[in-house]
Amino acid sequence: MTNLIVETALTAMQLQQLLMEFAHELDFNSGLKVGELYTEDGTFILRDSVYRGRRAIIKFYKDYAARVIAEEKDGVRTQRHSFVNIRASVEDSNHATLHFISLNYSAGGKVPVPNLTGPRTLIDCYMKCRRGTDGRWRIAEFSNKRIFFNDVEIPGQCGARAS
Amino acid sequence: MENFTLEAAVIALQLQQMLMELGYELDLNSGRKIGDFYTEDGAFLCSSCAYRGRDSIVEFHRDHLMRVRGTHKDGVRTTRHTFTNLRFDIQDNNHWSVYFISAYYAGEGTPPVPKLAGPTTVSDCRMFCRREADGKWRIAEFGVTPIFLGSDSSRTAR
Repeated sequence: MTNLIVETALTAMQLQQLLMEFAHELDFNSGLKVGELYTEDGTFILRDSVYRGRRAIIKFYKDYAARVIAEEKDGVRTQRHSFVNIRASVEDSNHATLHFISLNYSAGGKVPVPNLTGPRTLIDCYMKCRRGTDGRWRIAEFSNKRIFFNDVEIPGQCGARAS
Repeated sequence: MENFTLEAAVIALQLQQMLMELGYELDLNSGRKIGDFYTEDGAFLCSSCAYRGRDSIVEFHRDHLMRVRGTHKDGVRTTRHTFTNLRFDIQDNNHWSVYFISAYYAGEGTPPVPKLAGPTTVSDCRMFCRREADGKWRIAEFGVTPIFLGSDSSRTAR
């Protein structure tokens, strides 16, 4: 367990902010600028698929956004990633790892979305982070594992999202 | 409401981190090392139970694990405690209280567990914390009051 002191506490807060910006980007911009939050060689691991490099990650989200437009009700998928239980492990001044739980609410169509019965998935996540020469923290590796899921089929949906 | 100083803000983060480590210990290690989180005279209190002393708390979690092995599918209960709305109350530099909400998800068998329909329970929690001579924060008293009960809550043991 990391015993936070002033310096590492500041890092923990910076990383928490990065994580919340990440969620905001996914939920309000369909991840179209998510590449800015990853390192150039960043990796995104989604179940059996591995996306290596910023370009591959950007392509994943662009393809996903295109599927949403084509397949979802009103061409929209509403979602909120609620990140909780954030644990920061600060390795050194430029490397740290976040562990957290993602409660993912999502459905096809515009807000407000009716018939909420709880989160669609509960996912364990980890995010390895690296501080670049510009002083900014970015995601070097993001991976997740489904722990609970709501398997009720919702017509027209593209399927469970990345995180 | 306290207006945090820098020193107090660091303590708040330390306690937040400890709480999240506690959640991890309960969910990913079945509470086998739960004793490390409590003071020697620590207490775990729920609406119908009271375990006083570290040894008593460790025994409670050990018994729970044994029951799960004997009664659950694959001998496994998958759980996640999610903690939100942390509020801090400062008594002095070595005594703080943390109040929060716990939304507890649980189901039989190994993950991924299907048919998620919301939390098993939503509870109000309080955690009285003490910084001991080695500089570490530990739980002197953990109290939990269930507020909402969902599916599978009859099998909830903690």
